[in-house]
Amino acid sequence: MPKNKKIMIVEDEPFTLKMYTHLLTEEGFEVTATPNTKEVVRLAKANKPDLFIVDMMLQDGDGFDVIRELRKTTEFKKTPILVLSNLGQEMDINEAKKVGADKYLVKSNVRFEEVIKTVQAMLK
Amino acid sequence: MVKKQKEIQVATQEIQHFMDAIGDGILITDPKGIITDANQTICSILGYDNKKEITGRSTLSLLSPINEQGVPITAKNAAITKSISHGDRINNAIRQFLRKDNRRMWASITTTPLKDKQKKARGSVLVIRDITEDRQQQEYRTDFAHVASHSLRTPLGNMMWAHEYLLSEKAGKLNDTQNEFLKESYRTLKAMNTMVNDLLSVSRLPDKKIKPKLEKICLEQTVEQIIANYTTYAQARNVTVDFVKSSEKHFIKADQRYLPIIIQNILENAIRYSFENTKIILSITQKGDFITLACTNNGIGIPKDKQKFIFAKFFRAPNAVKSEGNGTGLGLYITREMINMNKGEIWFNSVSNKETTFFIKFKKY
Repeated sequence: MPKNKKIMIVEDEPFTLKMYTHLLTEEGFEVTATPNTKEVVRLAKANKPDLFIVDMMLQDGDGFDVIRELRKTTEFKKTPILVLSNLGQEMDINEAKKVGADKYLVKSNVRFEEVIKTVQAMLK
Repeated sequence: MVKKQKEIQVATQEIQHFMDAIGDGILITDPKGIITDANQTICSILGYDNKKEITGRSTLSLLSPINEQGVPITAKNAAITKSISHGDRINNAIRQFLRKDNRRMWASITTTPLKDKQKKARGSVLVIRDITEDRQQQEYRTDFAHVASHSLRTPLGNMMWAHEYLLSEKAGKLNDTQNEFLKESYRTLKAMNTMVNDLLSVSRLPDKKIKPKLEKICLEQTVEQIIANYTTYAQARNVTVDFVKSSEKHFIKADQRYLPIIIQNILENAIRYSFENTKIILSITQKGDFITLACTNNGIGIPKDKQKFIFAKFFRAPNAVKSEGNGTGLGLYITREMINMNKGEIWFNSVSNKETTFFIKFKKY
């Protein structure tokens, strides 16, 4: 299991964020988070995460723009991006992958164990 | 001479009455696309009082058409130009036109060239159907699916993950009552999640007037991906899933957006209604131009007298309700609708309390 790897979460729902942070920290990951889409690149440059977890519907914007911004930034061109969203339509999934997401999971259709396994596989 | 003129006048009036009685808008143009005649319906659709306001105008400048993606249609690409210049009939092209009040309307347009005896184009007839209401409903449905998927699934997902975490006892040991209550609550949440997913699938069933995007898909690959997603679910129910396949790959014509949902629904039902410690077998066969996926399980089956209702909306057989209390009765309805859209077929053989096989047939690519 990859220890001390850094994960940055972009999520605006407080309980979801609390749970991600708790469960990922318990698995040994170092977690930073922001609900603010405008802050993502700045915080990411400061924390240098090994992987991003991005929600799609955020209060001040959408995840597609966050991914676009990250992929435009030299340091994060290849950093794995996992989308965890409840938007489950094929067009959303395709669009997210088109703009640079590596993997897309529909939150309510996966157990958290599967999220952990996916994160671990993406970090290998 | 006077009699002849009167006859012509009567005939012209009759044609005008006939055109006005048609529910679709009609425009008649000369070879340059200038409107020479119109019926009352097109005036109403576009918000004009009568045809005097539109005759003599260029069709393109009157309608200012844009395509489904919002791109303006140029004279070169216009259906009317293709009709007049190439003699083509263009059927049901979807456009947005500009009304007199500057609002946009959605239309389905069919253009037919008018030719003289020498087969030279002397104009065209445009039949325009107002589909604004249909399009708005489609948009509402898409918006509903978007909002509902996020707003309903987010709290459900959170609750399920919190339950999983508590049930894993990583946060502390549970006593028997706590464990039992949490398990029951988790089971209910999962059932609710299935219902939300089913309702969303129904809301997303596309308008039957829209053509599916049939593309080349490897059936083996799709089936394998879905089996992988259902491994945990099958294990929890003590059921194994066996995919019997040959080395040959089978490519079918299907819509990538719907095929996974179709196979997923069939496999999920097979697991849900299987007896414990049994095996589900999936296999693919080819006959002529058709490829069939079969999924067999050993389980409660479908009673003979209920088989004719199995694809009806909201129907659940009594033995299915008894074995699995939660369910919407929408899964097989959705599946069949999606298969029809993919120009496929679905049928089944079932013996109560023994064996059921669902077959899905698609056209070979």
